[in-house]
Amino acid sequence: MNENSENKRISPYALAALLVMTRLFALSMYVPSRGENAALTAVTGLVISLLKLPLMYGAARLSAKAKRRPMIYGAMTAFAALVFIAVCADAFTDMLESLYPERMTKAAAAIVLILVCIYTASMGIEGTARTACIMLGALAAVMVPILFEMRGSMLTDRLDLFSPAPIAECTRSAGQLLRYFFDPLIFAVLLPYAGGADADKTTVSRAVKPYLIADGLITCVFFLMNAAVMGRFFGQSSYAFFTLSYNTHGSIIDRANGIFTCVSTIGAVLTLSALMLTARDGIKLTGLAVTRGRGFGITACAALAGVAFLAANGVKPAASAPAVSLVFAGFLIAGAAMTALGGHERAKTA
Amino acid sequence: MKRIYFFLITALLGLIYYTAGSPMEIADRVMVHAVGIDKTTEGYSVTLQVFSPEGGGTEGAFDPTRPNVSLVAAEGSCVSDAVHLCEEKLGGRVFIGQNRIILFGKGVDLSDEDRLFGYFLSSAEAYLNTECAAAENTARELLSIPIPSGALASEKFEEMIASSKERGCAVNCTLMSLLEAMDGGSPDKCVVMPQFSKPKSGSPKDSGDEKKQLTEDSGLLLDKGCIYMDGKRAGELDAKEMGLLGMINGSGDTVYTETEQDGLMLGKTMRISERAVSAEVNGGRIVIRVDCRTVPKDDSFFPDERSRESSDRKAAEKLTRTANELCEKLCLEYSPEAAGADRALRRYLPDLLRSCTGGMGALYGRIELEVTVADRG
Repeated sequence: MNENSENKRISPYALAALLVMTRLFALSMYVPSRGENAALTAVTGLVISLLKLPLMYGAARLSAKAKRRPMIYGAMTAFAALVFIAVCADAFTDMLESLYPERMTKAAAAIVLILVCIYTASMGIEGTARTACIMLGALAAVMVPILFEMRGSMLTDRLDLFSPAPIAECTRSAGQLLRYFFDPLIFAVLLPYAGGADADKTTVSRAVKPYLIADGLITCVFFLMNAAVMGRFFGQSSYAFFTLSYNTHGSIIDRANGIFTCVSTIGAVLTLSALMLTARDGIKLTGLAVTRGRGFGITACAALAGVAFLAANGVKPAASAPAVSLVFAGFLIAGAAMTALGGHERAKTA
Repeated sequence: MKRIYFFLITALLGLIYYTAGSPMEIADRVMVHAVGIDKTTEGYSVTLQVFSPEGGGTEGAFDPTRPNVSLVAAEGSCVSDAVHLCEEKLGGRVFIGQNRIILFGKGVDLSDEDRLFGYFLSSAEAYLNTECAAAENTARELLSIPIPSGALASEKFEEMIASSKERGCAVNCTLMSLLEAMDGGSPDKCVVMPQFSKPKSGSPKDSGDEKKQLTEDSGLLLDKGCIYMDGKRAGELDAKEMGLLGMINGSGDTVYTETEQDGLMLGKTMRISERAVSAEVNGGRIVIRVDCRTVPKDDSFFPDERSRESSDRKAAEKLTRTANELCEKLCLEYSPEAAGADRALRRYLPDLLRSCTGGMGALYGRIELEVTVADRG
């Protein structure tokens, strides 16, 4: 672990690339409801991307004020990051188990996953962000031909926004889309690496806007493809990401489920690595670890032990992903509001 | 340096773990290329056309009289049970990922989703865009026909469907679209599938030495489509009607018609260059309009421009007339769902659909389909 990494910075665009990879992971874990209108989900996704904008700015603001309450901020971020690690590791290994039931046990897959993520995160924020940028380019080069090759399977006549209960359906879709809502957490904690201790608005914009545009675009394209290829039926295949892959029948790539698994795996590794870095910084802020190296050591041990224990005992943190995301979102909004209110009060008394 | 050790340990752990198990060797897999499903009193009879390389070829490089496939059949209460019984007979693990076609026999009820499709949906290897087709009688009968051409016998089914569809004489039906029709919430669960049959004329006559005889092509015929309503066979469409249906519901890119030229009836395949759908309520009737523009796919030789334009115009007029006749037939005898009325209602008249207490089915009686085909002029 390189101790000088804390002084190095990454580009805000690299931070955006890392966030896009985490979003790809979240999308690959999406399980639709039976008969769900994917076109409506695409619209809901676009709206959510827009609504994330103030949340991300609020998270940046919280991050800038972290120095005032380092222990509380550090404890909360470390706890939230570790919980999300458990949730994401469980969700990913669940997916592996359902797709390849006879090849691996969940506990072993979880342990290997965490070990790989520890290694990735040990490269520090620079290495992780660089990996995210490289992977994003590679994945785009692979996924774009697949998208073009699926044109023959698409019937745009299937795209409509009809729903017998549109509000209820949009709410349900929004809940599913926000199931893994860790973007603001990762963004808030890793933002200082992109802009120094107090990231200015320009730096924040350079990180947030490309990310949210990519988020909206990827969500829109994915769900509209689902709607055009599969209509309203998602059947028993559970993960829409992989169900779509079973429909690829192109001249360059035939049956893309293996590639989709790679995309999901890369997304999982980078997501968990980013969360580990987040937990590391949170632990350092609490004062439990003097250096980032020790903080990372505590994070790695906690993540490995926790995930292995939960997987071996059949505990499924992924089932509570919506609740975790909701609680985190609540804290974020409350924290951002309190920070804003505190700033306003200080300005008044000053 | 420590990181290298850590990486090596992790890589070694991963390698040991993922290679510790014994993956299925390809020689132990049974490659299924075609699946036939027939209804029996007990449940379903599944016929699998399995790749059998040792069966193909004797003398010389290729012997077309020895197809490289074999058949295995079993019965079970559901397709999944029948497939597992086939596995027991074959002594290997069935690999469904290379399956080209699923044939449904005459008595199969497509609305029995769990027992019929459960096997394909629960398998991560199943290719959900597999072509589906109906068999005139039993699927087993069609899969038993020796097909001497091509590397794989089952490719013939796909090729015939693709070729007919390209000519404007068929629609295709993938497993995904079939599942959507059965489970997508449409009231009549209407789906149209191409129908294969055995030709009525007999086998080639003996004329001396068998080796000198030209190898006859597949004993398969694709000249009809089968309409299913609520999972059961409701009727048939001929090849031209299938092409027209593809034009009306948007699933086809070409349509076939016949026009008179110099006193002769000539067949013509037209490419659908534009298609627009609209729907409105007009005096209590729901009018769904489909406006298409067609251009000839292969230009014929005409003495002058006027003759060409006249031919295109006649083709467009003929298509308009026949398409509207088909729409009337569909609305009276079957369901406007076959023409995509359910999608049009959801897309263009969602308020009407939501306000209707009886659901979409209650609106079907009020639907009128109007098709207009224009030429390229």
